[in-house]
This record gives sequence, C-alpha cells and structure tokens, in this order.
Amino acid sequence: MFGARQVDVLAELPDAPVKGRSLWQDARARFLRNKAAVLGLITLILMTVFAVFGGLIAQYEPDFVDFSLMGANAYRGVPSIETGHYFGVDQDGRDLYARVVQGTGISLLVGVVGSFVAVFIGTLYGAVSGYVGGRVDNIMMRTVDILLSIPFMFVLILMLVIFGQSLLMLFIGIGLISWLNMARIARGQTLTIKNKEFVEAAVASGVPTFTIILRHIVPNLAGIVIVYATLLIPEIILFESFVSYLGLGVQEPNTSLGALINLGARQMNNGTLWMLLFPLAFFLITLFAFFFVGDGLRDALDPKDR
Amino acid sequence: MTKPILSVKDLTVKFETPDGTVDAVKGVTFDVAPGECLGIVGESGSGKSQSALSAMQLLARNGRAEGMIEFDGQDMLSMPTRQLEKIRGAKMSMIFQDPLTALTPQMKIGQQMREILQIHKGLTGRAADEKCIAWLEKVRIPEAARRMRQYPHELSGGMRQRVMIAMAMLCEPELLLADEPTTALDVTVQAQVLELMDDLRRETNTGIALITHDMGVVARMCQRIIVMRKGEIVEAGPVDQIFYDPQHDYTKMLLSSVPRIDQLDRGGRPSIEPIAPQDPILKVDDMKVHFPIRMSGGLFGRTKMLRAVDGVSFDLRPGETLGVVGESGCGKSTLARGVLNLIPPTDGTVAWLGQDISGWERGQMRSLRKDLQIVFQDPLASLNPRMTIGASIAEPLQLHRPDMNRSDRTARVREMLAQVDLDPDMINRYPHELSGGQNQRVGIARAIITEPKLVICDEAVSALDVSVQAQVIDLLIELQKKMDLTMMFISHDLSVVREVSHRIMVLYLGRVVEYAGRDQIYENATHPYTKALISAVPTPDPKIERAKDRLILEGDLPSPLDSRAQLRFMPSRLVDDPDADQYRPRMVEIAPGHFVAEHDPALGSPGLTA
Amino acid sequence: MFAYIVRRLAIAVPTLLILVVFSFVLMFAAPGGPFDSERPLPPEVMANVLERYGLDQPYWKQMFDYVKNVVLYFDFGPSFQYRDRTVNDVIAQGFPVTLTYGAWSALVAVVVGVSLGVAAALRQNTWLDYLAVGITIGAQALPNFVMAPLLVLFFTLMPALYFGGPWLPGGGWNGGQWDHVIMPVIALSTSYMASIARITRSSMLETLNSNFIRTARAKGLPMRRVVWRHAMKPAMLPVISYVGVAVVGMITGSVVVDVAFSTGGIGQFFVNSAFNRDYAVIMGITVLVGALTILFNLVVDILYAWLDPKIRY
Repeated sequence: MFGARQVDVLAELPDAPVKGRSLWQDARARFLRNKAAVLGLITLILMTVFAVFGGLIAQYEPDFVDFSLMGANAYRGVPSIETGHYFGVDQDGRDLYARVVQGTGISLLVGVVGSFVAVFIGTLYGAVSGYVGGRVDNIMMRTVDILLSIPFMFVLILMLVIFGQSLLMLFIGIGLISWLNMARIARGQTLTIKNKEFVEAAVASGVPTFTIILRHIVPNLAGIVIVYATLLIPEIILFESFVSYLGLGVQEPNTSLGALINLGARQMNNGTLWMLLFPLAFFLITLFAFFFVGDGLRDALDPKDR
Repeated sequence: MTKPILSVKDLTVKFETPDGTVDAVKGVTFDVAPGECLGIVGESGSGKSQSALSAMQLLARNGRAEGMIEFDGQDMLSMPTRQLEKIRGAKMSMIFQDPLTALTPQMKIGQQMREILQIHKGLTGRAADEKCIAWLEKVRIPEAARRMRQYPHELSGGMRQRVMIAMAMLCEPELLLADEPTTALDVTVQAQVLELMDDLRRETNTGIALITHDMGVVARMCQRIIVMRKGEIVEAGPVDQIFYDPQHDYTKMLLSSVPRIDQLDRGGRPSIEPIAPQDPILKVDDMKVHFPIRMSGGLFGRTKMLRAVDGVSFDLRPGETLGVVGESGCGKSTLARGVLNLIPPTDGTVAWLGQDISGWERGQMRSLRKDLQIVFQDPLASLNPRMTIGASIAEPLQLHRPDMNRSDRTARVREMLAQVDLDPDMINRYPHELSGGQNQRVGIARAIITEPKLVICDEAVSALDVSVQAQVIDLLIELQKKMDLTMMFISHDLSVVREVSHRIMVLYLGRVVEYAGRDQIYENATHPYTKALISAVPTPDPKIERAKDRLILEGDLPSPLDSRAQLRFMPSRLVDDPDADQYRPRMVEIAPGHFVAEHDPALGSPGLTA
Repeated sequence: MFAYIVRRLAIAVPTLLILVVFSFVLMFAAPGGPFDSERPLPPEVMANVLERYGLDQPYWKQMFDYVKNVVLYFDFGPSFQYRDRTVNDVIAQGFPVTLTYGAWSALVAVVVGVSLGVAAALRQNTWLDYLAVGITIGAQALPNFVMAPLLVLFFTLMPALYFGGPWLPGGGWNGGQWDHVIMPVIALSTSYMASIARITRSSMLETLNSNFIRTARAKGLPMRRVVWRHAMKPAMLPVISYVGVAVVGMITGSVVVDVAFSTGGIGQFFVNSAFNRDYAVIMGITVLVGALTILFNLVVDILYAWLDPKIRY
C-alpha cells in the first residue's frame, strides 16, 4: 500500500510506467515451462512441415501405380532408401512415403478445418444462448441435449451412404456433431463471465451491449475456447480415421491416416507390416502431440488455477 | 495456571510449492489450558489457521510441521496415524470456517454424526441416535430428529455450523479448535453460535482455541490472546492487557482500525461532516423488485415470487451518505441495482433530480450513468482480468467524455490513481498483480472518474482485512468531502456503517423496519430487529462485552419465499399460510426523522401500532 | 424421483421420434432408389418389387406405416439386400453377439478404469501414480481401430510365426467362447478405460482436497473409511457423466470391432448394408442404437440424480 507521501515522490519520477504482465503473457510463460507441451508443439510444427513439403523429396507420385511391384510388394517393395520407396510400397505398387505425406496432410486438414467449424458455430451458439438467457437459453440448450443423445456416427454413415462419400460430406457430418460440446462449454463460461461484477460495472458505466460482448466477454472466453479447440482437433482426426477405417470416409485416390491404417491392417497377413506401422506411427505421434499441447494450454489458460 | 491441555513450542510450518518453499508459520509458541478460551488473532496470511491444522496433523499434503506440539502430554508430531485417529474427533476436535462445504453433501446429517460415535465409542443403533439428537438439541437445533434424516444442503448456513459444533462436541473433547467459526454467518446467527460455544466451554470445561480476525469476537469470548502476523507471534497476554495496554505497534494498529459500534471517535482519522438540509437529489418511493422462482414439485414445478425488495421508500440529500444495513437475503444489493436500473424495479418510482427514471431503457439510462456509479464487493471480480487497470478506469471516460483524446484520458487516469493513493505508474498493471485493497481502490477510481453525483458502495469494504478496510473507509470519507459525493453505503457490518453514514435504513426481508438518523438508530433503536442486530455485534472491548445484556434473536433467517416470514415481528397479524397475502406493517414516525415499522412487543420493545 | 423419471422419459420419446423421422427424410432425399442398378430391372418386375416393399405408396404414408410398425410391433420391415429376411432377423442374429462383448467391455472399462484412477489418486506422486498416468496417456491414443490390428498382430500373427501357433484366434465368434471374446473386449474398452481412469483420478484428487474430507479426517475416521464413505460418491459424479459418453462411444466402436474381428455382430451387417444401400437395415440398426443410447443416457441421469442429493427431481 502506498502512503500519500510516497505517491508524491513517485509522481515526480520520469514518465516510466511499470509494464504489467497480462494474463496472456503469464499463460505463455506457463506453457513454455511445460516441457511435454513444448515438445508437442515442436512435433506438430514438424508434422505440418512434413505434410506440406514432404512431397518434395518423394520420388514417386502418391497415385503412381508401379505394376511391376503389384502383388509382389512383400519382398520387392520393402522400405529402402535406394529404391526411393522410403516407406516401401503398398499392395498396389504405390509409394507409401508419398501416400503417408498425403494422408497426414488430409488428416490434419480435416482436424483443423473441422475443429474450426465446430468452434465457430459452437462458440457463437453457446455465447448467444448464455448471454441472452431465459427461455431462449432453455430452448437452445434443450436442443443441444437432444442432439447429443443421437448416435451420430450412425447417422453420418447413413448420410455418407445416401449422398455419396466426399470430403465435403465428411466435413458437414463432423461439423454437425462436434459443435455440440463446444456450445455447452461456451455457454457455461459465458454464464460465469456474465455474472461477474466487472460486466455489471461496465453496464453501470453505460457501456453498450455490443461493446461489452466484444471487450469484456469474448477476451475472457478466448482462453477456454483455444484450449478446447486444440483438444477437439485430435478428436476429429480420430473421428475421421474411424470412418475411413471402415472404408466409408476419404475415397481413393485421396487417402488419410485412418484409411492407410485400414489398408495396412488388411495386409498384415502378407508380411507387409510397414503398411500398418508407418501410418500408425504418424497417427499416434500426431495424436500425442495434440494431447500434450492441449493439456499444456489447459494448464496455462484454465481459469480454475487463478 | 493448571497444566495445559495443548502446548505448542517453536512450531514452524513450511509449504513446498512450485514457486519454492513458503514459510507459513515461523516459530510459534503457545498453550491452551482446560476450560480456557485462547484467541489466536491475525489478518489473512498470518499463519493462524495453519498453526491449528498442524495441531490436528491435518496440513495439506505439501505442508510440513516442525517443532513440538504436545496434546495431553503426548507428542502429536511423531505420533503414528492410528493413534492420531483415536485422538481426532474424540479428545481434540475442530470446527471450520465455511459451513457450506465442511459437511459431505452426499451423506445425511445423522450418518455423519453416528459414525463418530461408532468408531470412537463403539456406539451404534438407537443409543447412538439418542446421543446425536441430544447434542443437536443442545446446540438448539429445532426438530432435531427430523434433521438427522436431512442432507446438509437442506439446512441453512447457521444450522450447518451448529451441526458442526454438535459433531465436534459429540465425544466431549478436551480441546476444541475453532477456525473462524462465525465468519461466514450473519451477525444475529454469529451471536447465537458464540453464545452457544461460551456456554459449552463453561459446562464441559473444554479448552477452546479460537482463531479469528475479528477483535470483537475475541473480546466477547477469550481469556487470553495471541496476536499473529506473517507467521510470527507479535504479542501475547491476557485479554484485558492486550486490549487496554497493547505494546506492539501492530496490535495497536489492529485495535485502532476496528470500527466500533459503540463510539464515533475515530482517533484522529477522518470522519463525516454534518450536511445542511436540502432538497433530495434521489427519491425512491415504494420500490418493489420481485423475481419469479421455479420451485420443484409436481411434474412441471411451479413458480413463486421472491420479493427481494418489497416496498422500500427513502430519499437522499446532496452530500449525504445513507447506510443500508441488513443480513443476507434482506434485499440490500437488489435495492442498489434497482436504484441504478441494473435490475428494473417491478413497481414504484425512482426519482433522480425530480425525474422518474424507473423503467427507463438501457439507451435512455446511458446519459445518466455518468452521474450514477457503483463500487462492488469483490475487488478482483469487479475488474476485467484481461484489461490493465488503466484501461478499466478509463472505460467510463471513453463513453462520457468524447471530447477527451487518448493522452488526456491517460493523464486523467494517472490523476485518479494518485487520488485513491495508488502509484500512477501502476497504470499498466493487471488486476491479478495487485492486492485486494489496491484493486478496491482501482474500483473506486473507476467509479469517481466521471465525477458522479451518486456513488453506491455495495459491501465495498467487506472483503478486506480490517487494517485495509480502515484505509479504504478513510479514502471514501475524504473523497466525499472533496467531491461532494452523495453515497449509498450498503453493508452487513453495523460498525462500519456507523462510521460513514448520516442516516441509516435497516432492512429485513425486503422491507424497511427502521429508518432514522445515525445517532437515533444506535442510541435509540426501537424495532426489536434493530435492537437484536445492534446487540449482536461484538464490541472490541472486553469489559463492555462482559457487562453486555444480550438480546439474542431466536432461530435463523427464514426463507424469503415464505410470505409469513416478513411478519416475524408482528405475529399478531399473521395468517398461517405460506402463500397468503399478509398484513403490511406501516411505518410510524416516532420522532422527527425517525421511522419505525409497526411491531409486537419483543426484546424489550413495548410494541408499536399506527 | 418418479416425477423426474417421467419428465426425462417425456424428453426421450420425442428424441427417438425425431431420429426416426430424420433418417426417413434422409432416405427419401437420396438420389436413386435401392433397386437402381447398372442393369435396370424390367418395369413389371420393378413395380412388383416396389409394391412388396411399399415403396409405391406416398412418402407420408410410408413414413407413417414405418413408425407405426416400429412403435407398435417392433417391426423394422423386410431387408432390401437379404431378400428372404427381415431386418428383425438380421438384428436377432447380430445383436446378441455385439451385446455380449459390449457389456463385457463396459464392465472392464468401468471397473479397471475406476480402480486404476482411485489407486493413482490415493498414491499420488508414487510409482503407481506415474504408471497409471503413463498408461492412461498412452491408451488414450489407442482407439478401437488401432487396437484391433495391433492385438491381432501381437496375439495371433506373431505367435503363429515365431511360437508355432496363435495364442488367440484372430477373428470369428464361435458361439462366444472366451478366447474369441477377449480381443474384441480389449480393443473396445482400452481407450475408454484410460479416459475413465484419468477422470476418476483427477476427480478423486479434487474431492480429497475438499473441505468436507478435512472434516471427516478431523473426526478421526480411518483413511479407508474417509475414502469409501465420504469421497467415493462425490468423486464418482464426473465419472458417471462420462460413462454415458463412453457407452455411446462403445456402441459406435462396436462397428469397427465387428468388422475387424469378423464377429458377425450388427456392426458387420451395418457396414455391409452401407455398401449395398440396404436402407432398411441401416435404418433399423440406427433406430435400435438410438433407442439404446437414449436409454443409457436416461440410466446415467438417474444414477447421477441418485448420487447427488442436491439435484431436485
């Protein structure tokens, strides 16, 4: 506490206000202290680089079929630097390295885009529901509850069967499902913030509603949204892989890690284990990286710890 | 002195945290004798609770206690867990601060009580039940047998704290550790609980270590005191010596900071000035704020009206402070929000400078917001954690002074910071980097930066330590003088209200029971509720406390949803139906400017009818 | 309590109806009917077929009949693909299989998950805790479609190559003999077991730090009693909520397990029908699974209300 005299002395000092540390800066410091999270982040960056530029060092196109290797990949399509098939070839004589690059890219894309869509819809829906409150809130949240108790995987497969299997359909299907939990989280957080005294103080100062949402609600919502968006990405990757594993997701010549795992698993009996293990390794590493980053962000940003 | 039951020597408590080791207690020595009440006093962070927890060996996992703690001649620190468990709850028991979270929510009261008897005394079945009920009755819980089958959330806070006491006393322990046992309770309930503990101590000769921040409670309860600060004992001695002849500066400061309900002299610190009679700037007439509450029952439930504010009238003159006093649920905070139109009143008028503003839309209110400001209770929650304090303070300026540019605003904010005794260079700090008292000053700076005419302080000093509280009160009084502010000061603390208010209004369940000038209220309280409320506040003066004739209000605050509750002080007009329209006691002017609600004779009051 | 259950049911029934109607609308929005193929059927045969399946009726009539038959007679109609069987036949054949290993999986996930979580919380920061945390983190990234091929690899293919014979059969059902059940159960339960363990651990730790646990210890109760009588119920609340999610996930996951291990469960029929556009079977299974999901959510909610006296019925 500063006594009045001290204040006078300090006021005469040259104009050098103390720089405060915002919560964002605190969170960044906390995140950087978490070794697993930082490692996860580096892995993710490397994985993205691999997906985007990995194709440059591939010796073959992912859809190039080498008929001489078809059916003979168990002994002539072994992973090797010399042949240029770093990860070997699959049963159709296609270069597995190029396929894994492509699959990683599509899996990441589906995860990030799906998560983005879900976060956008979910946050908007939840924030509106929470801020408006009352009967509107009740109806909006009841709807979410009802939708949540529908086995969506089955409905999605039904949709894929009926409307044909395409990336777009997959995005729509995943987007339809994933925003639900986000909406619940966003609503809960909005309710908490809305009832905080600083929002009331802003109302009491005459701050317009829209400014309140923009200046006081959204920045405080951002932390939790970022955390759940990060945790949603691996979930959606899992989701897509699940559908692709059943052969109902991404269609040839495109591929995803889930589809590659499916093909690899089917060929296990033929001794071409690399077809399973390479995509599986990339899949697991990606998932772990996302989990660690998500956990790190949660520890750094979750308001519970403050 | 008889042989002490608990003796603590050179106790240190350390906590391992990610940011390093924290020394919570640094070499503390004290004794508790049988039948004695020892007060352990200090502000937050003084280590008083940790000392008690170490005596029970209940420190958090990352805490470690060293030194010597002897209970009944046995060393507690080296005792094996099995033996400790035999002592805990049987010979030494503890009451905690927060009665709302201290009982297991999933177990019935009876289950939680019986298990103590089962493990310590081997008592089960009817014998155990009888003993539990006997104790519940002893702590004056009505319908004790029924309570045994209830879950904790079905009881009120005061009731739960009494259950805690009954549980602690069940095996008639030799030592009771009470950690802020009444801090979370309303004053009238606190008075009941303190009375109960004092009686139990006398009857059972149990030694009590009472941990508290409240000097009044200490004066009321204790024979000896230790004063703690930052993990060390700064002063120890018999209660009279500490109160009437304190040696240490900290003790003196603590004692002089405590607001006193029985006297006005603030010992050289600023006090309010009388105001000239003028036309009121705010006139509230018969304001009502009702909320529909969904009740359970039936397939779809039903709604009942919660009458948070139920017909309140008052006025405020320029430069005046009106104190609004009442216990939890009396509607004092809702009243403030109704006046500011933050919660639109259901009925009645709010005349600001002669103009009825009740029911105005948000947009209409906006121009008025410059003149009407509010300071909140929780300093941290009332500031946006993502904004610098400078930005928070400047926000009202941005709206109401469009003529100012950024650098004007910054200059003004710095000026305001200096006004509230904060370093202007803290302008870029964030709320989490400041202490509670500093944050509350920021809240005050934000409220007064537009030079408002009316500032409402909603429990503005309740969350602060006494010494900080005193500083903030000084600040408010000085600002009022300097800026000619009109204030509404809302508080549950009658002593604080007395220091700052010209007039005082006492609320009970949404209605005014007494409304008068400050001295009239404190010296000539007429309504039984006002009397009980004033009598319940412990005075930080042991001699007065010992001589005091106590007016204890029976029972808890009833549910505001029950329409019978508001007629508690006029049972002669009661219709015994929780949903009936009840008689509304009228206000009677018993002396110029002294209004009292009609009531039946009670607590030494002869009764009053219009 | 009774009123609460009735109210929850009042929400569950319309939900199921919405699901049925939604699936039906989807089906009619589909480009091309189930019997459009490269070689068109002769018109009179086509008319015959359509009549047999009631597809010549107006849409609303078809929908009404379908809902009526499902609700009143639990009859999902004939299959399009298996010409001589009804959807009920298909379900009757596949469902018991799925239910058998599904129930085992749920049991394993809950029992192992909760025990592991509680043990880790009680021995926080010991080797047991680290082990449990390690297992849960690892297993979280091992969903059923990853577990299935790995299990086959390690318990069927590799032993067959190096140890002269498979330890466990890599597929089939064989009337539900234990060696055919074991791998589907592990594949299906692992990731949910991990999540349950993680949630149990953190919830138990939080509960153990709460004020009422301190009270219970101050009463002199032995730690075992504190944990079982005071901490268990409150710590289980978040776990119960999650079990609802996990069961739905396992129902979904059974599709992969059925395919991966060729168990002959409904999942296999479902995927086959998906490839063959057998809408009748797809819809039948979707509605059945929807009903199951809603039922489990109801059970979870009631369990939750029973564990938390603060919930008003």
